[in-house]
Amino acid sequence: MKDIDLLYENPNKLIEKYQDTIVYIINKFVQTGYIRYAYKDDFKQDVIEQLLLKIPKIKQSYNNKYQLSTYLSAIIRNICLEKLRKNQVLLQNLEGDINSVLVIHNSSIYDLAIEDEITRLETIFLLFNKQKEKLKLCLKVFFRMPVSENDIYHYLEGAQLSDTKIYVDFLNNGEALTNRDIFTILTKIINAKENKNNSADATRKWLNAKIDEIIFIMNGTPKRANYDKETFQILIENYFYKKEEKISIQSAKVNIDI
Amino acid sequence: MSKDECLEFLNKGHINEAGISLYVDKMLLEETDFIPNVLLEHVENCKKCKSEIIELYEICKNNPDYKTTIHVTFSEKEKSRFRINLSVLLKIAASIILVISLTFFIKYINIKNSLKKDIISKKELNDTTFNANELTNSSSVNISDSDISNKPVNKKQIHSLVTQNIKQTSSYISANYEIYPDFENLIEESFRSEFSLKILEPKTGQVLPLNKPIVFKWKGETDEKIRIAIFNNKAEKLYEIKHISDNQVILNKKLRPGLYYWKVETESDLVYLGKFVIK
Repeated sequence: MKDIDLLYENPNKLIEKYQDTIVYIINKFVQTGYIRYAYKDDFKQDVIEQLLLKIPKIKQSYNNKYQLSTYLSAIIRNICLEKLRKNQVLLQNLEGDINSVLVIHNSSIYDLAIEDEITRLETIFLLFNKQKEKLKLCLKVFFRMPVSENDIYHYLEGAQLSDTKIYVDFLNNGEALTNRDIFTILTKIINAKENKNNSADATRKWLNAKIDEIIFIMNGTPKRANYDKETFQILIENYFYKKEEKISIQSAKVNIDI
Repeated sequence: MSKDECLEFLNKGHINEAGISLYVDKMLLEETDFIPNVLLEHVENCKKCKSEIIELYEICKNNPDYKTTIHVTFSEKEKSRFRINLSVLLKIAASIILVISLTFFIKYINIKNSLKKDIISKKELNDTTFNANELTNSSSVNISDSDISNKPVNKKQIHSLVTQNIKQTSSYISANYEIYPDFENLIEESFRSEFSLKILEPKTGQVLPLNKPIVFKWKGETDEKIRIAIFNNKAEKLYEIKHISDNQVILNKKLRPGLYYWKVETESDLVYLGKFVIK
């Protein structure tokens, strides 16, 4: 029987069917230390009860425009968060766990952990929609990553900007650059693309806000990590290096094929 | 999706669970181009909704029990594939219907034509006053019949009709001159000696003109009253004249061209059997 039919005809069966999803979501909270392993089963029972109470609301609001499994996952997660909020667990800091993550810096799972973080960061970039390319360029420049003319052309998408090479040479001048210099050049590029006349300070404020936003999302709700600007910079560096690596591997493959 | 429809995904200045689910679905299907603009613009500028989306996205993406089979209703790609399949099916169905319709139409036309021909030929054959020569000289004829259309018959049709009719007429005419073997054996035999009748007209095999009275004449005496009967060449009796006391009978009936037989009989016996030709 389809999920949608179960929702209307046999909600208990539907919840039974989604038990593994409930356990999966609860385990995520257990892994981050928000739920003690010993209380896992009790927590699960509470979630199931809450979910049963929400069935009439789900029936009313579900309109078949998206998957029921996605919708149920969202509801289950929110039930968990609500329960944790009531128990005031969310305010507890996971600093110890985050430190342990830092301790495993050189372990064999470091690469996998970084890979996961980079994937999450890439997904977050997607949510910035039209601002995505602007944000990537600004982050690259702000964290003193090497910038190419292609990076700028890619962002400009056909918009005209003279002296691109001079800007690139200037930006690649490395640590000699001050933040003021960087935001001055970035603002010129952004204004050329957006046809605006913003100040360098506006660009600085905008980028700082975006960095805070990304750090907040990277840390998760409830908090799954403890990024600050320094650790975020490391992540950004890894992100762009991996990206460059992928591009060079791809071009090498193309050369071999040719 | 219209702006009003998108409002159902917004609640208290943020995207609700339904909107988050829709957004995540499209991300999982890699169909972010199909996310409504209202949602895209809101998420672009909303830290809280970004966070909600990313958390649910990671749960669904990494959950091994999450359903990976996406129903056609939710996937734009699947929808478009479904639409393409549907359009192909519709085209095939339309082609089949067209072929069937054409077949029936052609059959209908054929049946109609054959019926028309049948009706025309029947009509012409039944019409004994049909004059072939007249038809050959006319360029077009309106064949009025309730069973057939009132469209004028073209020259080609007339020609074939006339040719057919001439052939049929000539075959009928030649058939009228064929002999009837049973009668032929009895011609000019002496049937009874006591009757001393000598047939004067028409003589055996005499050719008589068309549309003229026919005179049957004999000489001699008989004890009984006699009668004469005229037959066509298929031994069908056409006329019979009884109780004749004179030596002569004049038949004022018009006979068609052909071979005819005539008998002189008494009440009980055949006295004479002769033949004549009308031309």
